[in-house]
Amino acid sequence: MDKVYRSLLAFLVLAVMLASSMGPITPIVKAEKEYYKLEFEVLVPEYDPVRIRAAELLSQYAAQVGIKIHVRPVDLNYEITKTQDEHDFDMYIIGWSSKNMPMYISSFIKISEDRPGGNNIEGIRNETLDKLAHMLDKTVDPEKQKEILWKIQEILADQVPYVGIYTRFLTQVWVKNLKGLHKEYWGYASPMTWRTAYFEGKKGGTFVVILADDLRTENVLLARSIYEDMVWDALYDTLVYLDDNYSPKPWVAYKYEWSPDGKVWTFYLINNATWHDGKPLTADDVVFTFEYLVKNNVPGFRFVKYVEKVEKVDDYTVKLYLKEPYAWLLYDLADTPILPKHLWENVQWNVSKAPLIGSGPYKWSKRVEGEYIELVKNENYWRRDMPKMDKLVFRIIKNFNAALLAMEAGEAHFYVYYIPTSAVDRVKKNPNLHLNLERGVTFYYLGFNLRRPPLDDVWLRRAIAYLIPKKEVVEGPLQGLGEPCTWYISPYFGELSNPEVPKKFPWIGSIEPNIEKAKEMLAKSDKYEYKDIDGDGILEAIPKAKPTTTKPPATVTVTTTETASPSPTPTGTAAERVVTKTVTKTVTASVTVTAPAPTSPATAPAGKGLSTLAAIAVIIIVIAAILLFLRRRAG
Amino acid sequence: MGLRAYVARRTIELAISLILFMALMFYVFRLMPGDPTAMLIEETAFTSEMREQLRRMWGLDRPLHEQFVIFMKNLLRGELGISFIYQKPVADLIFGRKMLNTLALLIASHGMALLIGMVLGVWAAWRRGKVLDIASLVWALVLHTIPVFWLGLMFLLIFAVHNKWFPLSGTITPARDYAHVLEYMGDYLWHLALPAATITLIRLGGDFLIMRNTMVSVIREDYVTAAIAKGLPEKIVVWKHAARNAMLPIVTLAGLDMATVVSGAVLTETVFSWDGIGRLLYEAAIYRDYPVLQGLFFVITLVVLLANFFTDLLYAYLDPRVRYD
Amino acid sequence: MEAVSVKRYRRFERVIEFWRAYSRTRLGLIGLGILLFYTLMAIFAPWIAPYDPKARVGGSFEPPSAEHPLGTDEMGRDILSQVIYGTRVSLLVGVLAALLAAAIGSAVGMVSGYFGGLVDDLLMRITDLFLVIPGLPFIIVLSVVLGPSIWNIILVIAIISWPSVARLVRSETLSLKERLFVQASRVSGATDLYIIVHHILPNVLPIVAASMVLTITSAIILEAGLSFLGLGDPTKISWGTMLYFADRQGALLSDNPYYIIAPGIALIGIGLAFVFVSYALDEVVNPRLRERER
Repeated sequence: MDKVYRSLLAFLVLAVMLASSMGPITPIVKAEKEYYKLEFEVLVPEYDPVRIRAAELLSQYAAQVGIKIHVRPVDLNYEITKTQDEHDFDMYIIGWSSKNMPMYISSFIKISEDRPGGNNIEGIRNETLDKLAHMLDKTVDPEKQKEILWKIQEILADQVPYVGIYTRFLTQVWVKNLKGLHKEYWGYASPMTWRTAYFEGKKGGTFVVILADDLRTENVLLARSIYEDMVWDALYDTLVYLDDNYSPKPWVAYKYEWSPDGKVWTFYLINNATWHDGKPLTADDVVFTFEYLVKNNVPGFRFVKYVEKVEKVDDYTVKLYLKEPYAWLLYDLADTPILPKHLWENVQWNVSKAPLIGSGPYKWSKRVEGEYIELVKNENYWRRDMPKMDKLVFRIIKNFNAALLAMEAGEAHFYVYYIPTSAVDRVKKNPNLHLNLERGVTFYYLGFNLRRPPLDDVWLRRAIAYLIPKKEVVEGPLQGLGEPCTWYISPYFGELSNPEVPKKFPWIGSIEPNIEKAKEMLAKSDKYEYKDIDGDGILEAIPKAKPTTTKPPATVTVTTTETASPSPTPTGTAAERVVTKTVTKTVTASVTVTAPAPTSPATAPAGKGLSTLAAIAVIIIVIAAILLFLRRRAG
Repeated sequence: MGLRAYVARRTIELAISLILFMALMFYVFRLMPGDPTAMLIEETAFTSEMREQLRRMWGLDRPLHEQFVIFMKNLLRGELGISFIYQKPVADLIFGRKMLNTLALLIASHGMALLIGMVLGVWAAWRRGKVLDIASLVWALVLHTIPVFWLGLMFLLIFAVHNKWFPLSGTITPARDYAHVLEYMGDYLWHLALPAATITLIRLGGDFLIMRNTMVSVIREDYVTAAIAKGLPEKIVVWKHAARNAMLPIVTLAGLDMATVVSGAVLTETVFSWDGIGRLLYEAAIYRDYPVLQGLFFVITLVVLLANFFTDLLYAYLDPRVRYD
Repeated sequence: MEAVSVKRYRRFERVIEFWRAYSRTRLGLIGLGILLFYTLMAIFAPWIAPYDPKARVGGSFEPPSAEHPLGTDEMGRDILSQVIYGTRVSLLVGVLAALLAAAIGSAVGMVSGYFGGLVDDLLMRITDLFLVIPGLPFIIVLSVVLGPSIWNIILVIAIISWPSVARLVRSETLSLKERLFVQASRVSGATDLYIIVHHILPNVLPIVAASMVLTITSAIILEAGLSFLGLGDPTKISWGTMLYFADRQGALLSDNPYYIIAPGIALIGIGLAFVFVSYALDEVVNPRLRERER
């Protein structure tokens, strides 16, 4: 028995060794230090060579200033969980289109969004920004919207909680004789394109569009990707649509108006729209759609939570009452399909096969899963001049090489989304194809964790912003298929983008790394003193005694009553968070991966990982034991 | 112990292994960092409330042990759950077109490899030591070291890009109207050709080596020598008698290889955009689609265990020397 | 002192003897030659490679030319330099993963075979469990669990490869245990640990080493496969990540197909070298095999 005991022990040691090597490196927790090392980890999605290269270049330039940045490529899912849910990161690079869209920007800066899962990933706690964000959500007047947005952009540029690196152009290819295209935020793959596109010198015909992914469900309410949106946009109509300048225009609602307080909206519907099964589209359907979305609280429709009630005035007039004014209602409605009441009444919102009857320009014809979706012209569409084509076919080709060959062979007419750099020249050389580089809204940025000192110092963030080689990234890895980003709201949105930002805030406007300026920024800091104490070439941040009065930096020229505070002053829970987090950054000696200290032990990923590993080890042993028992008894 | 008792015991053992294995995998899947709702962010402007709502809908807000109990209950009732991404029962997703595609690809390629490997193996063993035997041996070793996805890429480069003889991706030509079922089959086979050829070539090396080595030892057995001594033509002895006996190990191995058949060929399917089980598995892992992962691993493990079980049973049945223990 | 030096001499003699047997196999020598070439390439990569593999030194997808013998990739980086640097990661992953698998496998195998009984049953059940787990699917899930880094890839490959080593070592240990010198040692009061370390381990090592060589090949190919699927470490240049980016960045349709061809040839070369070495080792270690074959 002694032998058995001893070997079991040996096995256990082995198991523990295995388990511990599998778990994440646990940080060595040290007592609070009087200084912080300028050593950070930047999370980058592993699949994109451009972003990885951008992070590597940033790391190179930062090293020249004495800031060490480790590039850590991770799975996108992991990155989002780490940043948005656990707030356990130093910096991250990600592409998030909505981050620079006017209608979404408020959700990224509100203090209430600074919570696990909230959109305020950086932990921005700026009272002025918060107030402006709330104000923005309630402002319906376009002029006032612009004013608020401009202020928000200036404060963001001043505070640098995150900073844009580059935008990638949407690369869209279509055959040269395809005309009548219109753009929305995914370039020319817009609802209006399906309605107005035609082949030059030809009547009707089959319009073949390449989709990079199949429909995941046959339910418009479950659409989660732009590919799904593309199909449903052709099948369903909306009350309003967004024109080429991204402003809402009447569609099925030929007229709409709102009360001065922005709470009551009236929509006047056209009276000749019909469903694909011949029934007329009336106010009942619109009322039903709103009520259905509200009743089921369907994810993906943001205006739903503002709706108080819906009222049918007559057969072709609908009144929508909101609990509070909501600025982006029309933009949301441009994405909201009108559902036929007579077919959806008894259908659950999340079924995988929903009724496929819409009121759009094309009717559902057939679909072969994973291969294609075929739509045919709706002869009774209320706009008699639309659509121009007889058939709309979505071919599913996930492989972009194959997609491009299909385009070259003339088997398809329209390809959007992603084209590798190698293909750009190939398309340019092809006489039959047109390559459109569209600015769009794609936005790649570097975000800081403001909760983690010394990143709470605005001067350090400005210094790092100065070091981003925006131009080099665009010209190198991106091959010129984009542009350096020097703004917070894309110029794509015209007037809403504040053109002063790059001029007034040189760290945002700079597109080439500026070592001198970065050093200058660090020297200006009133929060920390930056110097290399231990002589390892990496700077340390030594907290300075807190100044009694916080004076705003000279560059801030925001005309709000309260000027922006130099750094987000932690108040309330934030202060507690800072106090409880006495753990400072530690770096394991041998491995380049630094393990940041978890914010709170309860959510510590290391703990979860290890316990699950232990559970697995136990399960393995139990399985083996049970099998053993069975065999023994039988034998 | 009688055969019946043996079968009964093995069945119980199989069921327990399967359930325990699924329990293990349940935790391994949850160990993947991230969250199934996280991937929705980049594609659509999802707010945190919407993510919460989805989490509730998918039952991810409950404590892990509760989720586990629900999962086990469903599993015992034979339900595999509903996919997060596809909103479809996992069983429908697995046993649909994807499984057909995978089976078509792997049965075609494994079958071809087996057939060619066996013929070549017998032939090489018969003519062992000759130049061609040595050459094919070296060639088999080379095949052993070629990464399957690279060979696939090479095929694409040569046969789909430079010479447009075969399609680059997919299983059929999209949106084509077929006049006849045969036309459809032809189109499917045309798409199948390159991926199937890739796997066939890669597997050929192994199958060939096994067949050749078994054959070499079978040829030396007494009865073969005796048959030849009796004056039977050597050709007939080799191809009819010896080859048939040498087939047993390779066929058994092919049977045990069921795991690779049902788990698909992730790499080949990736290269050729072949819409099969392997791709589904990879995507489910990236999207953290737990129900799909659980369903796939359940099916794969079940097939593996059953294959082992039946092989043992067959052996026990065929060979009286094997005791049932 | 005397005894030690004799022992040392014997060991030396054995090495010489082994080398004589090995050098008689032509394939083995070829394999060793190729391996030497790769190893030198890995060690002296910074001196051999014409460019910094990560620096932009030309246009994108330039076809082969005098400056860039294998052309450039999508970011205008030199492919030859990348292939040369890629040797480092591939060799590192292959060798370390095989070493780790061999270490775990022999530990489990020796403990299992030596002690027998309950321990043996338990360990072998666990080994069986790992053998039953569907390979590639499990590896994919495990790589996602651990995250992209070459250390994790090494770990994953080791986890999936140790069971076969364990089985091999166990059966060898079973026969060694009954040998006279082990019995004698036990009677004379040696502890189990002593016997395992001093008698069993030296005798299973040759077999472990021979099986390790093949594990290295499969580890290198597996690393390439995982990286090709996008589960590798994209900041490290390996042949697998090169193929991954080549595929994703559309090298198929570009002017430079060598972006795809070159890493594959490099992979096949190193794989062949290890297969040749293993073939030769088999002949030396298992002479019985040779007799049976002929």
